[in-house]
Amino acid sequence: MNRLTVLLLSLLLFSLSGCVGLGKLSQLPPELQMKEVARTDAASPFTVSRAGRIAAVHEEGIEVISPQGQVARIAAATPTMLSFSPNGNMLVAALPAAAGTTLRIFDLNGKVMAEATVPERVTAVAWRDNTHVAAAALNIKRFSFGTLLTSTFYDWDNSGSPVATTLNSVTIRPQLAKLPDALLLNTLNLAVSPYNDEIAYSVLKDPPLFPPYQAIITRHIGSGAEQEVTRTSIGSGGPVYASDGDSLVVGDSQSVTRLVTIPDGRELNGWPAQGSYPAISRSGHYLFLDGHLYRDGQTFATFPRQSRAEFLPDGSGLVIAYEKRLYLVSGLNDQEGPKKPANLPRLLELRKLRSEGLITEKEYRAQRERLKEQPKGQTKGQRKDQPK
Amino acid sequence: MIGRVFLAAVVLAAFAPVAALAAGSCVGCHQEKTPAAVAQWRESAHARAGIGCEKCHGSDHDKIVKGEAKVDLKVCGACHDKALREHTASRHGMGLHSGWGCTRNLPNRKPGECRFCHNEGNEAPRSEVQCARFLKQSPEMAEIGCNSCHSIETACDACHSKHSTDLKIVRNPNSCAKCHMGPDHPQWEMWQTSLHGTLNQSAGKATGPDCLTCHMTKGSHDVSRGITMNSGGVPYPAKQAESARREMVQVCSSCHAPNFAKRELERDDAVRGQSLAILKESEQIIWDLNDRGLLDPMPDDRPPHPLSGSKLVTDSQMLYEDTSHIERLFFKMKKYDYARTVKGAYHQNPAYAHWYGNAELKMDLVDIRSEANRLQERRKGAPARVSREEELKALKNKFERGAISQEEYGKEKAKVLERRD
Repeated sequence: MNRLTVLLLSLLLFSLSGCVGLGKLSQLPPELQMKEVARTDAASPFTVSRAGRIAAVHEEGIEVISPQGQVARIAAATPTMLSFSPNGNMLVAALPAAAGTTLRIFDLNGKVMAEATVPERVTAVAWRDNTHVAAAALNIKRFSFGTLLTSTFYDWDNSGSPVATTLNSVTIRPQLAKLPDALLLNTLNLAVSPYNDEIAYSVLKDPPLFPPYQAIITRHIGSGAEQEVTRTSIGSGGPVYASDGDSLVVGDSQSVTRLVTIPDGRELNGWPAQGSYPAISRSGHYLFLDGHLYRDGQTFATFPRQSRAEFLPDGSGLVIAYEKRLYLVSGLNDQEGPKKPANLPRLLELRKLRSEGLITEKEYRAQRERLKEQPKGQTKGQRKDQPK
Repeated sequence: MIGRVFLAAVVLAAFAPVAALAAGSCVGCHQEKTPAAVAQWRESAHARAGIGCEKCHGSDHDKIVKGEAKVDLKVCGACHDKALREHTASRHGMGLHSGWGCTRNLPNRKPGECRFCHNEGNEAPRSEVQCARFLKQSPEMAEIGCNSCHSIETACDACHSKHSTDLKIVRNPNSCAKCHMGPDHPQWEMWQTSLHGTLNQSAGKATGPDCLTCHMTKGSHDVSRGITMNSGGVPYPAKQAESARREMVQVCSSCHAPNFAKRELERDDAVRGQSLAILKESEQIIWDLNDRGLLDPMPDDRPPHPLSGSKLVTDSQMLYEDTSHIERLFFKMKKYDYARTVKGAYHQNPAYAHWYGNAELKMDLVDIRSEANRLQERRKGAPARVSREEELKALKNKFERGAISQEEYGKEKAKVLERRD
């Protein structure tokens, strides 16, 4: 065979594999159904709203796909990040700009509701609530002796300028700095806790005499108190909050993905996957890691390794991105997430006290258990045995 | 003819004063440029021993002119070995340059200041000791107000004059008074108005001892012999204090019965202990206020302490500026009044021990208690009640500084967590 024949055969094989649907590459149990719902640009972001709408990027535009499958192009833009607000009415997009990144908020019709530009590259966006957007951004400055990485957390209330807080500033050695920018940008991830009071993020550390690593850190937004929860290898996915708000899913590009407790990093569970794009369902019963859908720790369905997924907030399914298509997998029977206690302010106070190191983990858990026991109508500070 | 001139030169050289040869070419010019220095040197033991200018100053004239050829301890110590060893072992020679600290990050520093701490061409400081109060000063104030005295570690001329070697100068108590006077340690004033000092004035040194009699016995350069506390007035550990006490009793015993000396010093120890208790009580009040966030302003809300940042500092690195009012009262109490009480007692000066010291110390405590009450009252009058978070922070502060045990901490925390709002 001459070179041309090899090339033509290769092209043919490549195009054929591209045509192969996700269904043929996946192993699904009978109770799960899968259908293609939209086309998307390769490796582009997507997000799912509370109402089951999907926002994705297709042919350099942002499209919103309704649960009924209607596609609406709402903006001509190619964001690197997308995230629906908790009520699903707004969509934030991170758009590369000449001088950094523009954060733009759209309504479902594509009307621009707010916009702000930050001077760095935004690596993650999430909503704290229906008005506050949280973003992580990384600045890379290269010098002859090393490369300075500055990680910044932005808290944006959609009206004024985003409020910046430096999360980390590290000079990495030339050897590590040889990594491409895309990989360095991947080291800064961000997640907002289910209680919206805390963020978890990963940052690159390069201590002298020790191998570099990614630190997983929680930061209480109110107090600014930070705690290193655990460490993982460079290029790992996560962190992602489990629905209890007290544990994190942390990927590890060298080893297994773990579920660890906050703040002490105690391992609760582990899965033999790198966890490049971990996703966890609302109850925590389902977990998607590198193409594996786990149910209660056991493999339940498999998809190609490169698949990325996001669970539907109602627990009925998940949206999977594979190559240039989005698929809806339905038939999941996820339970409700843990109920927030009737005395939520008290729980938030306990979480803050724990973040500041004012109470131990043991004290926090003991107090939290007591909150669970507290009947709904009970007023603040009132115990069972006390007359109303 | 040539032979005669040579002979004359040899004869002249043989009879010329040793000093003239030693001074070499310097004297010619310096008789005009610095006549006092030349005159003092000519009268000195150095001149008589043939020690000329170059021996101490070196021969690099440019360096001398730039002030880079300081005649410091190392230069003198090359010949005065015993004095060097005694001085280095004493308080004068150990960390007294704690009046210094690295000024490299200060906005108004002067490059020449480096020489206060660094030997020429050496990046490593002579000591790691730093002083927060020094670092708060302007370069001008640091030089006159701090280094003029605290240079004694390496500068023999802090006591001895520069070119004269007349021991009359250095043995005079006025020489010590340059530094050992004023509000923080008025040893000179205490001595002058004590029985020792007044007898010295009226009957002479044989009857009334002076500074050197007790602190530099037999010409020793170890000024710390016999002292049982550090320069901040903190008593030495028992073993160290015991041997120091034996030394001082020996000194006193050259005039007094040893038992008498011992008794007197033990009485002064008691005064020191009582004063220290008053001091500690005040310090405790301040730390409690800090635990509860009641200082005004709190350390977080002030310019950062040069060595400890936003932490409260009440130890030897305490500042008298950029503090709260109650800390300023404590500074005065500790640095002035405690020092006067204790040193007044050991120097046998009743007025300093009591009125300038003890009375002020106790009045300070009244002021500090009153200020603490005011701060607490003000807190009560302001927002409703202290939040759980504030209370837990106060407890954590207490635990971290060792004021409560782990067990007490746990119990107190449980109480706060159970508290109903």
